[in-house]
Amino acid sequence: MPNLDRRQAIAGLSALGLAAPFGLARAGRAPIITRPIPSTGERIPVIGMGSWITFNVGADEGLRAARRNVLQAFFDAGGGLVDSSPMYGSSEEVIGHCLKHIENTQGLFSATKVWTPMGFMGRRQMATSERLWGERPFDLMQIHNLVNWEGHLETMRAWKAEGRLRYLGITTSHGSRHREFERVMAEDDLEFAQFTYNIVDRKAEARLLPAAAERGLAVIINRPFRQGSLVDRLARMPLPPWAGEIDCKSWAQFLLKFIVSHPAVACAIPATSRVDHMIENMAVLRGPLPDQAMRRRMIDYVTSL
Amino acid sequence: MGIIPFTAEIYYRLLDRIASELGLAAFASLLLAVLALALMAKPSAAGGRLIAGAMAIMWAWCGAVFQWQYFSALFWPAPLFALLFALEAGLLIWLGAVQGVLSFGYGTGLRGRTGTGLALAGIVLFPAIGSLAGFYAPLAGLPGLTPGATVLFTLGLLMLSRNRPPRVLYAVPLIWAVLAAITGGFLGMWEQLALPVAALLAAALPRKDRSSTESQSPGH
Repeated sequence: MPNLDRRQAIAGLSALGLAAPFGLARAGRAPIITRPIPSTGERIPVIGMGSWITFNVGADEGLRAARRNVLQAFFDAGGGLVDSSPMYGSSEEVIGHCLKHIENTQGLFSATKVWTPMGFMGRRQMATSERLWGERPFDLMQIHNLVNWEGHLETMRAWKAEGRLRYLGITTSHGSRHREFERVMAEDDLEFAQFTYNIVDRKAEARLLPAAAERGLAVIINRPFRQGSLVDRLARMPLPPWAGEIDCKSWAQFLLKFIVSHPAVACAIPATSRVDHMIENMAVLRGPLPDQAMRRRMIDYVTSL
Repeated sequence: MGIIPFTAEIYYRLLDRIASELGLAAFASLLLAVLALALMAKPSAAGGRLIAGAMAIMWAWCGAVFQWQYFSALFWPAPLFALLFALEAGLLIWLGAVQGVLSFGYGTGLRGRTGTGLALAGIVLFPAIGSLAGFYAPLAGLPGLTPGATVLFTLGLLMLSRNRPPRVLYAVPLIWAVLAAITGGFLGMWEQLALPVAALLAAALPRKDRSSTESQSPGH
């Protein structure tokens, strides 16, 4: 239901008796779960929003209106970090458009990336991103997939000194280049690291997550649902009855709670183009998270399916 | 797929939006395609130049409008695709319209009938799929407006060339056929798989209706 706004979605879900199953009935009571950025202590909500594919809708007015509703639902539910990249087509432009047309965006923690092999183009690309998002300093600029990381890091340091961005980070995805990523993580002034981690892609547990914790980096997790394929696969299976112990009413919530319960993770960034899915994801911001024993149980259950 | 930042829905809506914003200008593509098919009924040197010119316009238009103006907002390599399409347009102009190395006519052999089928598929297949599935307006699927239809139509016409076309004219359609098949496979846009099939047919079907001069034709 791409054109549904948040109020319509909640009303519809309530009418179907589904608001409580998504955890919405409790949403107003429990505090939002946040994690500190180690370098400053500033806190961010543990569920953010990715924009790969979902916000790349170009100038299509109908789809832009639908994405405005999705982003509004994100902020209404207490969301903060919105992540994008120049690689994502029109996503940055569409996010900027949405931010101008929705309310309640005070919690925005803007995160984008620089992604070009040439240093001078990186400066131009970051300036374009500034323009597309709006006239505000970026909260976080990340080097996408480590492309020309040394050159871009120099520029980003200069921009940070000028007050044009607040935090510096690096990214990778799909579990690639972990060895090099770990080496770059040692740079003194990096504050964020973004990589892939989910209940079936746990390679990061071995080195990246412990290294990030040791070096005081805030960790953003991408591909929490493997671009939706993980939820699609699990949707055919029943949720375990004990999922209720941690307020999981859907596989999406189960997968997100697993990720953000890792002590080294600051934020997961699921992407969606649907308001009902956004509301479902954001319910994870409130309620209990699994402990170590429950995390082991979750892994065993998914592995057994 | 990890490198394709859009969905089939967004792609189809883009086609629809292009046709809608072009308005009556979208009919120009249909007229060019029909003109090309009509000129083939009476093969002539002048007709061959005109048909090559019509195809060149379609490629140039598709490159400038679809790739450069619209698709580039969704997919960063689109400007490179636009250059490839411009290259194909330039080759058709130079080799076909200026040098006159192409001569078109309906053939009766398997290759000729297949070429006719592909050319018609270029005009009918993509508009029909878009229309029947509710993806986009029929005009949006025409050669010149959408790359897939442009490639199908071009491969069909090259198969209908009475002398062997310079191989370089196949390069860009083949590149696009491969890209479209990969993209279509990952996004579930199955009609795009018609492109590599057409390319295989163009490459594999023997030229039983060769003209006597083909062995001396330019480009070989």
